[in-house]
Amino acid sequence: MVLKAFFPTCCVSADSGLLVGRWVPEQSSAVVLAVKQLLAQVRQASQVGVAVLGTWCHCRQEPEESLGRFLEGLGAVFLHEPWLRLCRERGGTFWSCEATRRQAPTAPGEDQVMLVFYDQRQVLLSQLHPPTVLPDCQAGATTASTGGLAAVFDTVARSEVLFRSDRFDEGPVRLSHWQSEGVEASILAELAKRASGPVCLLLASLLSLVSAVSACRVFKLWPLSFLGSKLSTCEQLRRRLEHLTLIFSTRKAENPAQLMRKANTVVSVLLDVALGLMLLSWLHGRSRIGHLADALVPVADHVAEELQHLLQWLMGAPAGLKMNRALDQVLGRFFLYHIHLWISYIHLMSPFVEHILWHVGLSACLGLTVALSLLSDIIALLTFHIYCFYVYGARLYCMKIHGLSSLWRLFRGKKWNVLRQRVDSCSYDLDQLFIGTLLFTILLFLLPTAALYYLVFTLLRLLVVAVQGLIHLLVDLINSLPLYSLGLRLCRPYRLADKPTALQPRGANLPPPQLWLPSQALLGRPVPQAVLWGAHLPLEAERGQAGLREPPACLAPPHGHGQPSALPGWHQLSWRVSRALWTLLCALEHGRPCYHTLGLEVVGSEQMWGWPARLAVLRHWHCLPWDPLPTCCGHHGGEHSSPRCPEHCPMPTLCTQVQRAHPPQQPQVEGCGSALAVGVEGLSQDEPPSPRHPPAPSAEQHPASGGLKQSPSPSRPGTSLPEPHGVYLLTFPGEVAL
Amino acid sequence: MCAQPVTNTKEVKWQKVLYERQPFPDNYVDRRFLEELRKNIHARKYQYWAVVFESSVVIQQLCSVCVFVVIWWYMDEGLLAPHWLFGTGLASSLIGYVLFDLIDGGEGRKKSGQTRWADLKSALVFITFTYGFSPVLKTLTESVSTDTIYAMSVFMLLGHLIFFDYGANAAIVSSTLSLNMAIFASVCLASRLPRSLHAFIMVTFAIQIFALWPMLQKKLKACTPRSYVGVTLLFAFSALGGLLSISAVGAILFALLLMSVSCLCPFYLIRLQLFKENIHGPWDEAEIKEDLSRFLS
Amino acid sequence: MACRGGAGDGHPASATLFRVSPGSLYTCRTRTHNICMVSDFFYPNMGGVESHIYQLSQCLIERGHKVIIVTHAYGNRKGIRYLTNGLKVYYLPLKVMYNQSTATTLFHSLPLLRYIFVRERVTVIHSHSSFSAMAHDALFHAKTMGLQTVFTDHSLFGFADVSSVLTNKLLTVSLCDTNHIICVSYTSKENTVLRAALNPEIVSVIPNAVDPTDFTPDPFRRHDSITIVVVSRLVYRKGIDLLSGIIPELCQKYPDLNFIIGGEGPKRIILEEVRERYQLHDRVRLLGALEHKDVRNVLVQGHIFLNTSLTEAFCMAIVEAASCGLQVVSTRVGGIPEVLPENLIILCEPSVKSLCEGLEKAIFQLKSGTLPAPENIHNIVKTFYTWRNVAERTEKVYDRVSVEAVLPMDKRLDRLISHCGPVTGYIFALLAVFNFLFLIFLRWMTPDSVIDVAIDATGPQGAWTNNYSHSKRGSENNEISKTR
Repeated sequence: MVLKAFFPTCCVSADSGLLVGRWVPEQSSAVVLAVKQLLAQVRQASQVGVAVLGTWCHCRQEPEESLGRFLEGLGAVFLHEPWLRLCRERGGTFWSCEATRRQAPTAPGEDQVMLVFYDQRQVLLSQLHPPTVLPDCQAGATTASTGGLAAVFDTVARSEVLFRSDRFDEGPVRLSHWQSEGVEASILAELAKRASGPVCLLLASLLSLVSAVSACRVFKLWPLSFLGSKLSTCEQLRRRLEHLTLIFSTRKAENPAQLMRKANTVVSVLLDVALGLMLLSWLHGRSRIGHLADALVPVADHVAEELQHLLQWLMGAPAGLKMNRALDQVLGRFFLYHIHLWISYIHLMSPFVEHILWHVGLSACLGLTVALSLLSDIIALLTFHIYCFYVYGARLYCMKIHGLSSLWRLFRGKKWNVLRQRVDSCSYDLDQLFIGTLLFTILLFLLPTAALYYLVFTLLRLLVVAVQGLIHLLVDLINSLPLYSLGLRLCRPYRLADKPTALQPRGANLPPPQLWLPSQALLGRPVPQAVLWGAHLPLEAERGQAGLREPPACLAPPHGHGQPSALPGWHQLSWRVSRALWTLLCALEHGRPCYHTLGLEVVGSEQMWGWPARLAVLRHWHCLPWDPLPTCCGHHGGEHSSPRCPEHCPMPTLCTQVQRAHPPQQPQVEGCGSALAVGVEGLSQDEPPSPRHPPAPSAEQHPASGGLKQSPSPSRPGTSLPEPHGVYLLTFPGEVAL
Repeated sequence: MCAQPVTNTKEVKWQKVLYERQPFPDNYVDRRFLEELRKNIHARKYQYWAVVFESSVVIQQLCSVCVFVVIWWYMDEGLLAPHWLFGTGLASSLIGYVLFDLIDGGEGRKKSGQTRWADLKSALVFITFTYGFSPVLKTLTESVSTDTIYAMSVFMLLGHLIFFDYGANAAIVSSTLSLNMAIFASVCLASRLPRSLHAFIMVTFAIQIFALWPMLQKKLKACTPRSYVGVTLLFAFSALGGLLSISAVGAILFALLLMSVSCLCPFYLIRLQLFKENIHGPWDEAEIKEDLSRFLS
Repeated sequence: MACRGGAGDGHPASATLFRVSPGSLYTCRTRTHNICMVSDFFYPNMGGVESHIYQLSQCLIERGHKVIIVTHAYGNRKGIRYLTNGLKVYYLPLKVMYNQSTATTLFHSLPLLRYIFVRERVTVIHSHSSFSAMAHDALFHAKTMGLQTVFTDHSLFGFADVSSVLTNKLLTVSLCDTNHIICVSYTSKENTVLRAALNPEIVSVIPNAVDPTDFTPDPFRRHDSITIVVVSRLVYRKGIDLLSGIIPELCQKYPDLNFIIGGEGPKRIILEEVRERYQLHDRVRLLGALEHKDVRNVLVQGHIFLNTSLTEAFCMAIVEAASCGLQVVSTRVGGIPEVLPENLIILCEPSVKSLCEGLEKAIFQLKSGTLPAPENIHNIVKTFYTWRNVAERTEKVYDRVSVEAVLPMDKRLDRLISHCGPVTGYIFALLAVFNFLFLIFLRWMTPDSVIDVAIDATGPQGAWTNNYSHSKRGSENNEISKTR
C-alpha cells in the first residue's frame, strides 16, 4: 500500500517544524494540516484527532546539522506510526520525503510515499462539498479512493482554527491567511452582521402584513383573480414579494445551496432596483413623458390605418388566391367595423394618456422589472383589436376544420366512435349522406378564405406576442440570473466544487451505476492506464461485478493503443471516426452520454444556481486520476511521451526518482524503507526538468505507465496492482482552466 | 450431420410427428414430402352468358354517368329548359316509386320497416336543402377556374365508378363513398350552370340518377331478370343516342367500351381460368365458413 | 423462464445458473461458434419467437458458444443490455415501421451491423422470423461480408393473395443463398420449401420447446365445475371468432361449464359482446394480457385447453397446456397434428360445430373419468420437447454450416439471377453489388483493425461468471490469454 501524504501548499514556505495533521489509517494517508505547535487547543476546537505526524525541514540559511538531528530525534518523542519526514532544500529545488516505521514493513509496496499537494484555503472553502460521514467512523465500506478523498476534505474543513492561526510567508511582512482576506472588509462584515438581525425582523413583519393583505378574500373573486392572472405586472409583484420574504426571513440558511440562493436573490433585487431608479430619473427629467404621450396616440392611429389598408387588400383578390367573393366581403366589413370602433376608443382616451404614463413611470422605483411588466401590459391593452381579430379568425378557422374533418369521415362512410375513441365504419341514410356531402363541398370551397384571414391575423398576433415575449425574457433574466454564483465562478471557482453525480450517494431504489468500459484512447491514453485510473472510481466495483475486463492484448490492433499519431494520414481520419462511433456506442450503452467518455457532463438545469458549480466539478474530477505531473509521462520507457502540461499550473514541476538502496530491515533513519526523493524545480516557473534529474527510467517504476498486465514487475510477485507513486497535484478548475 | 442415418429404413418408418426422436437427420426428406399439396381446389367454372348478364350492372352505371353528363351539357348550352327536366324527373321518380313497391308486392318495404311518411320526409329534406343552398352553390366556385372544376368532376365520377358496389365482395367497394363522390361531382358541375334554378334542378337530377335509380335496378334484377335486360338495353341505347347528338366520335368510343365490358371481358375471364394454378396445403389459413354474426344479433 | 431472463437484466449471475458443470460439456465438444441472433422480435415484446431466441441462446451459452442478440430499440430500452449468463443484447436505434418490424432500405443498417459483427467476432448469423425486416437485412449483409448464415422460419404463409405473392418473392431472394434454414415443424418445412423454392436438403426441422419445469400440474387448484381455458392473443388468426360461437353453444348445453380466457387483442370486444348478450359474466372470465410467468397459474385452474387457431406453425400453447395436465382440444391446422400424439389431443375442423363436438367429447371423457391423471400426462409430455435438445440439434446445424463455403460475390450474383427470376434477380443482384461497394467503402473508412474487440461476457468461462478480485486480476488475465 502506498502511503499518501497530503501537503498544503501554503506550508511550502514555512520554517522547519513539526507536521501536524491527521492520520487516516484506512487509506494509510496522512493529511498534513500545518507545521505547528499548540496541539491540544487545536484538537479541542476542531474535534479531529490531530496528531504530530512528522517533521518538516526547510532550511533557509545554511543547513544546520544540529537542527536536522533534532528533528530526527523527535521521531522517538512522538510515537506516531509511521513517522513522516519532509525536507526542502534551500532555494526550493529539492524535496525529500521519508516515512519511517518502527517495525519492518509487511509488504514491499508499503514503503512508497505519494505526496499530494493541496491548497488548504481552497479545500477549506469548497463549501459545496459537504462531509457526509463523520471522519472517524469512515470504515472501509466505501471504496478507498472516494472515502479517502472525502476524509481529506473533511479533515481540512474541520481544522479551520489551525489554518487561521498559521502564518508562513517568505516576504518581510508575515501575513496570516485570515489577513490576506482583508481586515477592513471583515470589520464591515461584522458590523453588517450585527445590524442585520433587527432590520430583518422589522422588514419581515412588514412583508407579512403586505402578503396578508394580498391574500385577502376580495382578490379571490372572479374578475379580480382573472385580471391578476392575466396581468404580468401582478405576477411580477407577487414574485418580488416572495423574493423579499426569502431575503428577510429570519431563519438561517441550512445548507450552502440555500445560502447561495439567498445571495443570488439579494444581488438580483439590488440590481433591479438600481436599474429602475436610473430609468425613473431619465423619464422624469425634461418632460419626456409629455413627448411620449403625444407620440403614442398618432402611432395607435397609424396602426389602425395600416390595418384598414390590409383588410381592404384582403377584400380584393390578394395574390390571385381563389377566394369566395361573398364570404370575403362579409368578413372584411366585419373587421373594418371593429377597427372603426377601436379608433373612436383611442380618441376618447387621448386626453388622459399623459397622466397615466406619469403614474406608470413612478412604478419604476419598485424596480426595472415592474416597469417592464407594466409596459408589456400596456402593449397588450393597446393591441386589443389585433387580439380580437385573431380570436375571431381562429374560431372561424377551427370550426371549419372540425366540420371538414367530421364531414370527410362521413364522405368516406366512417364515423368517430366516441366511446371507443376510434373511427368506425357506419351506414348512413341517404338524406344524411346528401346533406353531409353538400355541406362538405360548400365548406371545402370556403376554406381558403377563412384560412387566409386566419393566417394574416395570426401573423399579426405573433408579432405582438414576440414583443411581449422579449420583454418577459428580459424580466426573467433579471429575476433569475444567478449573479452571485456567476461572480463566484469567475473569481473563486473553488468554492463551488462538488461531487459529480456518479459519486454521490445513491438511494436504494436507484439502479446501480451502469457499466463503464474505459475505451482505448479516450483521452489519448492507453487502455491499461485508463483502467488503472478508473480504479480510483467506485465504478470499479460494479465493473468487477459485471465481469468486464480490459480486452486482452493479443487481440488488440498491432499499432498499440492510443497512438493515433503513429498511423498514416487517412488511417488517422478513420481512427477518429471509429473513436466517435465508439464514444456513441458507449453513450448508447449507458443510455446517456457519459461524461468520462465525451468529456462533458449533461448538466441538469433544474437549479439554475448550480450550473457553475457543476461545471467546476467537471473540471475538478476530470483531473481526479490526478494527472501525474507532466514530465513524468514517459511511456514504455520514453518511447511515447506526451507532455500534457497545464499551462498555468502554479505548482512546481516535479520528477521522481526511486531509490532502492537499502534493505528495509535497517531501523536507521537513512535506510528506513525505501525513500522517495522528490526534486522540485523552482516554485514559479515551468521549466523543463533539469538534466540532473532525468525522468524515471523504466516503466515498471513509473506511475503513468504502471500497466497491470503489460509489465508486471518480476521483482514483486506478490502484488499485482502497484498503485502509482510519485507526486500529485490536487488541482481546482480556477488554475487549470481559466 | 445428425446421428448417422439408419440403414434399415424398412423397419423404421418415418412419421410426420415432432414428439418422437426419429433415427433420421433433421434435414431428412421423405417420400411423403409435400404429399398433402393440392392445387386449384377453389377454382370455379363460369358460364359465358351468366357472366354477360352480371356485367350489365357495370353497363348500367357507365350509362348513368354518361346520361348525367349529357344532360348537364344540354343544360349548360341552354338546349334544355330546367322546368322541363324537373317535370320529367318528377314524373319518372313517381313512376319508379310506384314500381319499386309493385315489383315485390311491398315485401321489401315491410322487411325494412320504411314508412311512406319517412319517404316523404326524405324527399322534402332533399328538395328544401337543395333549393335553399342553390344560390350558395351558384356563387361557390366563381373564382375557381372552369378547368379545375372539370378535372375535379372527372376525377370524382371515375371514383364513383371505381367504388360502386357492383356486387363483388372486395375491400375497395364502398357504396357510401361512391355516392358521395357522385354528389360532389354534381355539385361542382351544377355550380357552373347559368342560374341557381339550373343548379337546383341539376343536383336533384343527380340524386335521382345516382341514388334512386340503382335501388330500383337492384330490385328489378332480383325479381324480373328479363325486364332488367330490356331496361338495360333501352338505357344503353338512350345514353348512346344522347351522346351521338353531342359528338359522334364519343358515341362510337362509348359503344366500343360497352361492347368490350359486356362481351370481351367475360370471354377473357373464362379463357384465363385455364391458366390458374393455386397451391393449397395444410399450411393455409383456415377460413371460417359459417356466419358467426348470428351469435351476436 | 422467459421472465426470469428479464428480471435478471443487469444483475450479476447467481448461483442458480450453474445447472450444468462446464467441464462435462467441454470435453465432448469439438469447436465453438460465435453466434449472432438477429430478429426484430425480442424482449420486452412477448411471443413464441422471442422466447425461442432467448431460450436457445441460453442453452447455446451453456454449451460453451458465444451468443449475442441484435434487435431494435424498444422505447426506452436501447443500447446494450446484459441478460442472464452475460447474454448480450444490442437494441439498435432503428425506426419501427409496422407491427414491431423495422423499416428496411437494405443499406442503412449495414454500418451498425458490420460494426457489431466485427467487434463481436461473429462467425454465424442466425436470423429469426420471416416477418422481421432486420433479420433479412442481417442475412443480406452477412452474405456480403462472407459470414455463414442460418435462418429460422417461425410462421406459415399462404399462396393465394397478392400480398403473399410479393412476400414469397422476397423470401425467395433472401433465402436463395442462405446456408441453412430451420423450420419448426414438417408442415412449416413444406411451406418454406414451396415459398422460397428451396432445396429441401438444406432445410432442417427442429421443433420449438417448452420448459417442462415451468409447467407442472397442480390438481388441487382446479375448479370443481368443468373449466375450459383459452390462452392466446385475441386476434383473428387465433380463431377468436370461432370462440365467440362456441361459448354460447356450450354454455347453453352445460350449465356448470366455465370459461377462462387469457390474452389481449382487438377481438376482445367480440367476446365481451357475447358475454353481455348471453349474460355469462359469472361463467366467462376475461383475464386480459397475461405475463408469461402467470400462464401456468391460469392453466392449472382448468380441465380442458381449447385452441382455435386458424393457422399455426408449431403451437407452443398446447404443449404448455398438456404439460400442465390438461386435455387439449384444438383445430387441425398447420403443424398442430405433428405436435402431440393422438391420445393427448382431440383434433377438430375449424368450425364451431366440429369444435363443439370435440369439446363435448372431452367433457364426456372427463365426466366418465377416462382421462389420464394430470401427473401422468405431464410425465409423458415433459420428455417431448426440451431446449437442450433444440440447442443440440441447432448446434449440429452450425457445425455443418461452418464447414460450408460462403458463396463468393460472383457466384452469389449468378445464383441470384438464375434462382429468383429475371426481373427480381437482376434488381437484387444490383442491390447486392451496391451493398458490396458500400461495405468496401466502410472498410476503407473504418478498417476492421481499428474496431475494438468486445468483451466476451458469456459462457462458463466468460467474464460474466468470474468473481473479479484485484489480487487475482493479473494471473487471471494471463490464463485467459493462454486459452485463446
